[in-house]
Amino acid sequence: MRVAIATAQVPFVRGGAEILTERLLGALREHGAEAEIVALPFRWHPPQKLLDHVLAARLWRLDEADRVIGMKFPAYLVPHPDKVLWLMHQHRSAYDLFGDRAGGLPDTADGRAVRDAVRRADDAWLPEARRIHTLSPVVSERLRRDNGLASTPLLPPLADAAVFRAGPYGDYVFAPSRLSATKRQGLLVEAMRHVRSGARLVLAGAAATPAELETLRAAVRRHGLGDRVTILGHWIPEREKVELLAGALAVAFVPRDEDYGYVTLEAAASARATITCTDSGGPTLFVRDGETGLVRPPEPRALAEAIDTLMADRATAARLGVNARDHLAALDLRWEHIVEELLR
Amino acid sequence: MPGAERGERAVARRADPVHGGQRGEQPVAGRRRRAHHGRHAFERPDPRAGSADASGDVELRRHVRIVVATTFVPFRPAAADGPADALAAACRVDGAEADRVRLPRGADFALAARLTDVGADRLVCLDGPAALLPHPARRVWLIDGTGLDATAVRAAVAAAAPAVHVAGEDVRGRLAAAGVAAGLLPVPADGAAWARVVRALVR
Repeated sequence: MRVAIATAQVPFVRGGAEILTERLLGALREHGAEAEIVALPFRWHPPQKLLDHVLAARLWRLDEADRVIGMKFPAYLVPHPDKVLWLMHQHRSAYDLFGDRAGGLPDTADGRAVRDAVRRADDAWLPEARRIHTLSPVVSERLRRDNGLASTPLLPPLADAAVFRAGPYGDYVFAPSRLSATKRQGLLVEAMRHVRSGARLVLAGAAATPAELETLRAAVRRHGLGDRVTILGHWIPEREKVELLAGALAVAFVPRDEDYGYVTLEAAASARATITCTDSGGPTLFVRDGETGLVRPPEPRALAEAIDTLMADRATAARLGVNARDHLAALDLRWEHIVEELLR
Repeated sequence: MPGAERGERAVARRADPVHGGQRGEQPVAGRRRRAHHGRHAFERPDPRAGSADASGDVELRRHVRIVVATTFVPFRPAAADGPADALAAACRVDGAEADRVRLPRGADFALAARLTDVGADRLVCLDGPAALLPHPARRVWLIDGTGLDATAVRAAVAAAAPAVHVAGEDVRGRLAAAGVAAGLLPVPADGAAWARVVRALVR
């Protein structure tokens, strides 16, 4: 079977979705399919450009493929008689992130017009797919709420759970993630102002913008937290991440409405508890409060209390971490299952 | 094309000032490092781009961003892919940010390509159909004669003049017959020659 993975490509930008696409490609080939990634260029600025790309998505043809797997907007709108979606996320700036500075589409007459066009495109053409799968229940819920469409989540596993290891529970909370407003590292820096124990915070990840990195650094300076907060403002190599996870007290991952959140899985594979927020989306699928981590409201004092709790009681940090690892193993997430569903 | 997304993108290359002594700069190689510094489209260019910040601990550098574009028929090898990957790699060696774009050729290809904006400071098209992509700084280097039978493709190649090169005499002859002059730039066999190709196409 010839399978084309249709996804969007923003030139020069590479993130979790791109890595996931390549892993799916590998899994399809391992399954014996003749698979190829078709990455269609996409830019969303200015807003009119976004609509050009939606129209282009309807004009590309992948007739050589027996099956198309659509993953990202607007590439998932490409017409094909045998299309199945594994939807990473919609164009969220036309939905829940509309008008949000971090989202992209401004709340202006032009912005609203583009938003409505995006929604109409999704409403009209998403149902062309034979089946709709999503990355997670969070994405499925948005699709149900915003477009009235039913879908089934297929949760991707870690690429290689075996590389993660569990070392002694240290004195720092580790937060690996791209540094950006939506990942809310600023909330963690604020929380550190209220931490009474000797716990430290280590943030690691490339900044979405130099300004966002500087904002975090300025907050650290302003609050005199220089000796307790470390910012590794760059993409860290996998091996370094594994080591930082292995020696952490716990992991903190407090994004706003994350689609899925591999960080939580990596923490669990390293037998670390995850501290997350009630509104974090994907992470709350895995983190059960008091069982596999701590779930708190997105407030600095509440997060500080969570950090102090684990610092004061390493046995609890270890217990939650081991529970998280067992829970992840019990979920039995496998690429094989995802491929079978997408090729069914 | 928004200036905010072109050229001015700054790349923070240095590590943390707080524990700078503990963890110095990590040489995170190639595309990964660059790719994770994407700036959101709606933000303004950072005025500090290209200079160190007040504390001197962040080095911000400008990169020329180059897209190397080809087209392909899904599940079939494309002659231009190899040279395109090598050109992108040579651009990175030269200090630029480079990314590849591969467009599927199908029924409504020309219109879809015309609607597609790849961004970047430079676009280098390695086959005729890829030359249909609109871009203010478009260079063409035809590896073979793919697509040149189509009038629209020949016109798109001609519109890139004088920045039109070909890898072989046969294609140069075909373009000359259509009234398009092209420089000869064979596909190099070694690294030093790739640097010359980068200079010819991108500088």
